[in-house]
Amino acid sequence: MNSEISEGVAEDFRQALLDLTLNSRYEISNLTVIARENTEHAYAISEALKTHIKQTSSQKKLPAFYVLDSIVKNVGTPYTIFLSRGLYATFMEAYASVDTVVRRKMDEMLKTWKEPVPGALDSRPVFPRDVTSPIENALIKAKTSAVQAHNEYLRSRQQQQDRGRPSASALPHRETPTPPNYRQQPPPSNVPPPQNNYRPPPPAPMPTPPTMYRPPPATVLPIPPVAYGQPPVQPAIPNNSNPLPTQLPPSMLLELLRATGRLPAVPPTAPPVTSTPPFPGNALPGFPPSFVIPPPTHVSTPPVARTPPFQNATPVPRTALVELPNDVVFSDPHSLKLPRPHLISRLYEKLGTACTQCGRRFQSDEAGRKKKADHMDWHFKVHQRMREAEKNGQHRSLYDWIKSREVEGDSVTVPNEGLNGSGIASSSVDSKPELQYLPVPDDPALASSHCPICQEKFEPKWLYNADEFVWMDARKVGDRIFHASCYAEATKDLSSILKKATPEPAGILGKRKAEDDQVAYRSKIKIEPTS
Amino acid sequence: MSIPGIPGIPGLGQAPAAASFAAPTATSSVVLHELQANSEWRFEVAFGRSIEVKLLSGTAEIFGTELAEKHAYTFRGTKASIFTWHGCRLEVPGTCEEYTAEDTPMVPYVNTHFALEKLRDEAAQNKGEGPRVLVVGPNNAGKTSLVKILAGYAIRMERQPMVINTDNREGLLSIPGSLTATPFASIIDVEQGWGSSPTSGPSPVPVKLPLCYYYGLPSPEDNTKMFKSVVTRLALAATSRLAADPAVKETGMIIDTPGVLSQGKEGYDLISHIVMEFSVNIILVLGSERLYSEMNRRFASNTTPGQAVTVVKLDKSGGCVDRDDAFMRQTQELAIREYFFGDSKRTLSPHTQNVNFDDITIYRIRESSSTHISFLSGDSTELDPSSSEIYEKVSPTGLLLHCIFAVMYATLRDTQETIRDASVMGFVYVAEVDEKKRRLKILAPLNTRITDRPMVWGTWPESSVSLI
Repeated sequence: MNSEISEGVAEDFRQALLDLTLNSRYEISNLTVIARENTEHAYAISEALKTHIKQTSSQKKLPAFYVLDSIVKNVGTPYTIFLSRGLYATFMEAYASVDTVVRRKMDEMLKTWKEPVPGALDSRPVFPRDVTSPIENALIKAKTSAVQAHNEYLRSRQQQQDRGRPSASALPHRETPTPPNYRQQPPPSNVPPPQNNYRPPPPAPMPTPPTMYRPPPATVLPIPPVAYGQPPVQPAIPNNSNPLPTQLPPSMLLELLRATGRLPAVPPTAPPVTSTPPFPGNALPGFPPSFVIPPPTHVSTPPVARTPPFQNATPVPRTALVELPNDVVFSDPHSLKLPRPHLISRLYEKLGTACTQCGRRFQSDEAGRKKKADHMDWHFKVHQRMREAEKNGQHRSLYDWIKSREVEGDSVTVPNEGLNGSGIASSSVDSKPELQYLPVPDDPALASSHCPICQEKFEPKWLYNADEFVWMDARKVGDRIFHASCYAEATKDLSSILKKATPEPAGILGKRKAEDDQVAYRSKIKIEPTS
Repeated sequence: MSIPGIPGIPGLGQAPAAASFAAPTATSSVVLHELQANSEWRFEVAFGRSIEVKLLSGTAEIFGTELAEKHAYTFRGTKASIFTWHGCRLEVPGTCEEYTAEDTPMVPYVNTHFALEKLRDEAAQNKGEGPRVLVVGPNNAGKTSLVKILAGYAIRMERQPMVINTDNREGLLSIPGSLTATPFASIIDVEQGWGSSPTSGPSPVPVKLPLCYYYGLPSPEDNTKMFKSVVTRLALAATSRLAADPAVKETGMIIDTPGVLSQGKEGYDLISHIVMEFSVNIILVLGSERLYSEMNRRFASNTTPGQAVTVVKLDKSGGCVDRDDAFMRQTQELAIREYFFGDSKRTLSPHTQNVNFDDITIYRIRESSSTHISFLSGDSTELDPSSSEIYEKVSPTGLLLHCIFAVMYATLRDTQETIRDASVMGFVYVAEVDEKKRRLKILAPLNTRITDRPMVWGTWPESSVSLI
């Protein structure tokens, strides 16, 4: 269907590869990103890469291999499959044409291919063993014969013995691990761990117009070229799987949220946490439709079907890659221009899953889920109160200020005082101390009044739950407003509990738990002092 | 008492009628925009029209604030852009002027954010103060957008930036002419610029509380002395708030400026004043080489520890469009309407009252302080000359029709200086002037006595068309 597009992408990729002369982390990660974003053209890209490695000059082979390495480690399927085909030839041909320094690098790289991706939780090797072992065996053979060439005469007999049983001592310059045959690794045909079942396809795979991803010349980039030890940065895949349909009626939504708040955490065996929303809906194999990012049209991927065991051969949990430090500095103008996909993830999946109503993200841990549940409660209540408010009529508040605070109503610090909005002391004799507050009177004269007892002014504070400015610890008695605590002190007609309940408002707001929402909610009905 | 006749249409007078009229035809065509990673969908919605944008999949953000998936966002009378780092699909019923751009300066912008984050982390560790960032650049270079992006990113990472607006041409959570300082602790309301200031009712997106001062002239250069005083006052208030609020303190400030400051010596001096008053330590220069070198010349040489200023040059976005006077005027008018009548999400009911000419105290801002000082210097009054020059006390006339006054937190006995330094309590609008009966009909946001407060009358915002 889009073989033409594939060709375009591949050509673009090939062009970019031609520019790759140095081992520049930036360019390599850039090419990796291109590969990731064009997985539907994986076949064409893989072929282009292989051809490039074959055709390019020997100095450029190593950087090209690093691209291959980066792609299989950071993108994985389906590239692993395509690139593993003919890898033997690609690798060996290149190996034959490069010098010993590069060969050592290639040896090191090959070694990592037999191991899982660094930091990844999947224990399978980067490439299946049946891909890497022939190469390794051939290398051993080749090296052995090289050594043999040097010491043919002396070693001729020993070589015969070593042939079937190569040992490290026979190859002193190579820090190779035990050949894979001896390793206790599960065969690649293992059933992939369940968490990989829904590895999302890369976002919005779309054809790349030619020349778009031409990376800038490496010379302007301040990256030390040889720093390719770590896997390059990886833009994390967006994770917008919101299991909650927005169209749910609020009551159901609330129910659902409350329920989920109590649900057990996602099993610890699902480590790519960032892609695992805390709601059970997503743990199910059939993930919600919202999750289905435009399916990449895998047109040229027949091998996938033939090699199902490799389907998830190299899943890369993002946790392995996001730990790259924030190295942006103002002092270097180039530093500001460098794309850093790993930092972007700090604004997205590292923040957790998004609220379906407003997009705010919450961590998937215990505290985050609690926060989110409170947050959704808050949305729900606001919607309900808005309907209420429509009837009563609203107006712009006066600007009032310096002391006022925006208290995060959706955090755990939701205040839930026994709100006596009218200023009449709550009659309920709760075991909990009651917080008293009054909406700040609209009348500026009254608004600037002092407590008749202590002569101090009332401090306005924005109370989130009530959605208005209030005076904490205020009480209206007749026409006058007192500090509730002063009044209690003066009249002694309230229990000492009330007195204790009047520390600095910040302390109260910061500490209370939102347990008795019901109380808080009932008292949400606004009372307009003047109207 | 509230205004009859308005409530049906949320606060926007005649304009939305056209919008709702246009809606049925618009729904017929739903356009799907597929955005590639790192590209941006730029759109313009005319005044009186609206579009709904829904993120179907992928991720997207508008000026640094992430959009929720499958949530319909309504935009009206705006020029904006939606950016995606990962690619996304947007559903937009109806048509508007739009295009997709792949070349954006978002990488330097987001890197700027992360460079600031590093400073904030340091501040949090050392219990120090977060960076104080000043954004300068010519008109229509995207200063406010950059401020919003940086604030949006900071908010997402659970910071609480203090956003300062010193651009008198556009209000931030307030009407034009006011200078504000607003700590942002929660998500920005993306559908309406910066969101809404508090109302008596609930709000679907948390309201923000600005500290508001008034400079009611079209350009800072019209009365530099007054502008400087108001900036000083604003800086004082903002700094004291910073000291009292650890979360805001470690996040620091992001300061927006009027574009006109980037155009010459007088403006540069005002920038210097802002830098000094707010103890700015990072200046982001948008889209002007000349300004960049000027800023470097002025500030980068100062390496005194604690006062060092880093000057950073950033590219202007290709998406920046010139907003002509007509557009600015409409934006202004909309801001005023929203202040009194609310927006599409909530209808507000302002209050009208009749006031006698004699009961009201109106101060008119003098356009240029210098001429008047020389003119009056021979006057041997006991008054502090600087204090008497700020305003001119005026009696109501027909000229006041459709004007906006700032009602100040001050008393009638206060000196002009005190009034200038006071914060704004609210704004009122003159709906009618009856010179025969010597009465004014005044629209106030709520039923409150205004006659015991000094009111400041500026030429900015310009007297608008009839609001009611």
